[in-house]
Amino acid sequence: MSVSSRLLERPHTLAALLVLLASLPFLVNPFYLGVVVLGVIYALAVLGLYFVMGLAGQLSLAQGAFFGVGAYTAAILSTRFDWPFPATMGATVAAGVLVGVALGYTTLRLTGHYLALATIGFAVIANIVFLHWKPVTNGADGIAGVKPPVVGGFILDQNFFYYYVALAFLAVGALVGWRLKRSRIGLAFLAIREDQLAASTTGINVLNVKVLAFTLSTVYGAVAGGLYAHGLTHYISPDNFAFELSVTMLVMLLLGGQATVPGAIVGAMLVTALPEVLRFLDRYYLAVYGVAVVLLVVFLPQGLWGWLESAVARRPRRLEGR
Amino acid sequence: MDVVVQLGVAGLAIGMIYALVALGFVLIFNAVNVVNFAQGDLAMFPAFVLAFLLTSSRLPLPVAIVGTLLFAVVFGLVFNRLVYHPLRNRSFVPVIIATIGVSVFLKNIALVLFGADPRRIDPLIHGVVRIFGTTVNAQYLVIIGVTVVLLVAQYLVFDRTMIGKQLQTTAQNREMAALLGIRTDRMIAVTFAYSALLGAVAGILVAPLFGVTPELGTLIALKAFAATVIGGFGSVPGAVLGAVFLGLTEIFGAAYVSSDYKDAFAFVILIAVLLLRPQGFFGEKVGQKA
Amino acid sequence: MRVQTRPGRLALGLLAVPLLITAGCGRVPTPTKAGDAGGGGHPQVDSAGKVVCRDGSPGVTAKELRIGVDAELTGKAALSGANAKRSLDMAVDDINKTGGILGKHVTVVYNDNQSTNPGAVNALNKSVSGDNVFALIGPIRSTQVQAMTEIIKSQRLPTMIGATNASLTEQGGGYIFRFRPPDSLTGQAIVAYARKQFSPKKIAILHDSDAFGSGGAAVIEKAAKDAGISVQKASYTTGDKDYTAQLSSLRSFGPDVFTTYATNSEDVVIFARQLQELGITTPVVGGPSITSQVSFDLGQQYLQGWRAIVDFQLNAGDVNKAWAAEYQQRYGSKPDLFGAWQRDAMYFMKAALEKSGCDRQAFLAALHTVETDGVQGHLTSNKQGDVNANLLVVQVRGGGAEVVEDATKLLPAA
Repeated sequence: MSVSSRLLERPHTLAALLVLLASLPFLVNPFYLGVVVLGVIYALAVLGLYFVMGLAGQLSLAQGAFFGVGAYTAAILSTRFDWPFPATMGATVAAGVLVGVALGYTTLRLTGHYLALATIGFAVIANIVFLHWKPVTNGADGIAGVKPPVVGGFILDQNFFYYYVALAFLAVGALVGWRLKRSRIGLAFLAIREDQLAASTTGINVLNVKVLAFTLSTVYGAVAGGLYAHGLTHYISPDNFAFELSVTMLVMLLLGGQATVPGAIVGAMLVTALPEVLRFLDRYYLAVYGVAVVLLVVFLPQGLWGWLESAVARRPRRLEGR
Repeated sequence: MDVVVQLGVAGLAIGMIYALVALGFVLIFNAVNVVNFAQGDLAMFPAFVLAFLLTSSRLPLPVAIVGTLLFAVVFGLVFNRLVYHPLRNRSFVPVIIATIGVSVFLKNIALVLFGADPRRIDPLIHGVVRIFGTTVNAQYLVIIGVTVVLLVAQYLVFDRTMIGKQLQTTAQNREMAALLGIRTDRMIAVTFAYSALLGAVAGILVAPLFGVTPELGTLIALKAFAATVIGGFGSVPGAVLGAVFLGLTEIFGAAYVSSDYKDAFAFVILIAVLLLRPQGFFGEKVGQKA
Repeated sequence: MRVQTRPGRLALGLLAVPLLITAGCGRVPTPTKAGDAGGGGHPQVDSAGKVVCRDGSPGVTAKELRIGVDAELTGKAALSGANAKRSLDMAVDDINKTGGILGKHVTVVYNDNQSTNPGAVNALNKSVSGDNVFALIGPIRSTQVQAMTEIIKSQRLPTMIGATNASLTEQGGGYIFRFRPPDSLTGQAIVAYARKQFSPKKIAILHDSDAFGSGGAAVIEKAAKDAGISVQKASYTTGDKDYTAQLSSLRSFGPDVFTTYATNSEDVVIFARQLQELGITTPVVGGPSITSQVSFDLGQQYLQGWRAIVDFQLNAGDVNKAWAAEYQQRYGSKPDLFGAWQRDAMYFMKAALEKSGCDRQAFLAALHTVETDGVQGHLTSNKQGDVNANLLVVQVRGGGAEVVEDATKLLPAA
């Protein structure tokens, strides 16, 4: 794998992307501020999928549910127990680890589509639990009044400021993802994606490595969920975390380009913003959005980022074959 | 006893609907190794077409049904040509995403074309039927009857005809089928058309009971999907039996355990099956087909 | 391997640049500043003392007054959004035909919320920052209003809603006005009427598991238990269309009255049909979705004799009759509760504007003092912003419903 030789995979590309993101609030119409905050938060969750799917090649369909687990963890601790932002965010990490390890060791022993199937089950069940476990989750009414972070006496509840809080998390997440891909762990992920059997003969503990990739994804998902609960509306309810969200996050990763950090980020931002940008189409906008997803998949086989890469490199487009 | 009969008939009928959609999943999965996320909408959209033909074009019911089924077949072929075909040499993931795009498109174009008012379709047979000393909706029996006939016909075609054998060979091993001179592209197109037809039958059968809205297929597809896993992913009899099992479990569970968790039964069973018997009740080991 | 440390430092370093720039940049909001207050809080009058609409407030230009609508045009609740649009299009056309509001042409800007919380918030942000509206007509679903509440408050945006969770107006900080009776009233009225008519010992509740259904069911349960009536509840997921299981389990409870709190009318009809098929003849007293036009269109034959506690009754009162006739002529169908409240909200805002002029603070104050007769009855706001406390008991007869009595008389005085 000559990953690092690709033009757009060079370090300053990621740095440039982060700088672009950091200046986004100055560039966009204020209306889109809420959209870009949401985009950055989703991007963090989608980065989680990048580990398990993009690198390790395991299809997970519950990222929206892990997002929900994190959001409920943060919301409950913030509203009932008055935990401050850093503490609740720490708790979302713990929740992510717990779910990832428990679900990972039970389902990743199996090969094939089983993780996908089990995660669909988890996604649906999690939503039903959010909806009906009233004493804890407050049922369908959801939880309002999740407290925003406070830094040096300033309450960071406006989108403008919260954007940078979310972006800081995303930057850390992106750097971890970036470095990991080039570490031995990342190579182990890729090895498993390419050929599990061959990977195991080189001494890789396939199960442990898969569980690690999966747990990274649940942690990223849960942390992003915590960010969602603390920002934007300070309110969560079960319908936020329906199965559709997991599906949408998968679309985000794939459209961006599944095996690169910038791809995951760009995909999340694009898919979050696309319906908003298409609003001028009036009644047709979501139908057009559906068609756009199909067209993007058909015509940009390596995702948006892969396309950018080949466009920039002016090289013939690489086939997707692995 | 009355209650058990009423629950049993309803559970069986709903199970049959799940079975039709589940079969669509399985056939496409076997042929091209892809989960079609638009399968539920392949039931929803034809139901709208039927409602449209009945109310706006005022066609008699049998003609409208035939028209709807034809529409579904053509739609399946177009779906194959425009969505699957361009992606046929890529991994399974882009295809999945494309089917998700199709699903979003179908739901929203239905809303634009047919409006937000739920459509009503009158049942073939009105009212209730008395069986075993109690009453059940006649449409439940229609659903069970039509599905059973369809499944028997499908079995005969798959098992006894040339095209059925070609379809099966293509599903089992595409390269081998091509070497044997089977035109696999054509077989795959037939599979898509037939899966769309199954979806349309499900939509037509369920429309008189549920009414027609853009969300008609969403929950059905999710349950049907769980059924395919429970029965054994990739197994045709497994999908049918898993679906019936699910329909019955769900309804008795909701009646006697908790209605709040009615939708959870399907997925708790799904996870239990994955942990205890990952190949499902009827599946062979799927192994690493992906 | 050494290259690994570079992207990290580089990115963090570069990240700091725009953050530093922000310190002196004009576009940066300060953390303490709230949204646009939109005026000094005094009614706008000209030298002759006549109320006028001056430019300057958000959404007010020389010719135009812009009102935003955050509605469910797509997604699970698309039906209510479609009706909202019909009703508002008609109301605005009528208002503009007779000179607009204070001489300004009223423009309604629709933004779809996809029937989801993030969608509702995006649509709200678009209404505020993109369309720059003066006031908003919001969603009918409570969770979406909940998601919007903080922004509504920080933007000080006058918002008219139809969502019925009791706490919404209280949490709205004076910016949210509701044009449908809250679930707390409707649920109590259901129980009060059931007690009066049937003196039940047992009440069964079938409800949607969403916020509307489970909220209403909780009110019914509490009111019934307070009156010493035993209760059994069963729920269904929105989109689930077979209630055989729920009805069987409720039937074995042996209730004297069935109550329903259903979000979607099409679900009510299926519930009614299955009740009939199962041979259950227990009387039903339910929530407002029973008498929507969709219910009648899809299955009036199953609903005959059902009672409902409703906030909208077709042709009740002169305003209502005239409105229904016009609606019928324009759209070829009868209006119902999904649409009635938006029409009333629009005319209520008009009445308030004609007292306050286009000053948001003065407008908010005026919303608390005006009274109008709408299609839902007499409307005037209480302290927390609940404008509509009209409730009727109606019974389904043929393709419509007949008024049985005034449900507000059944409730203890507020």
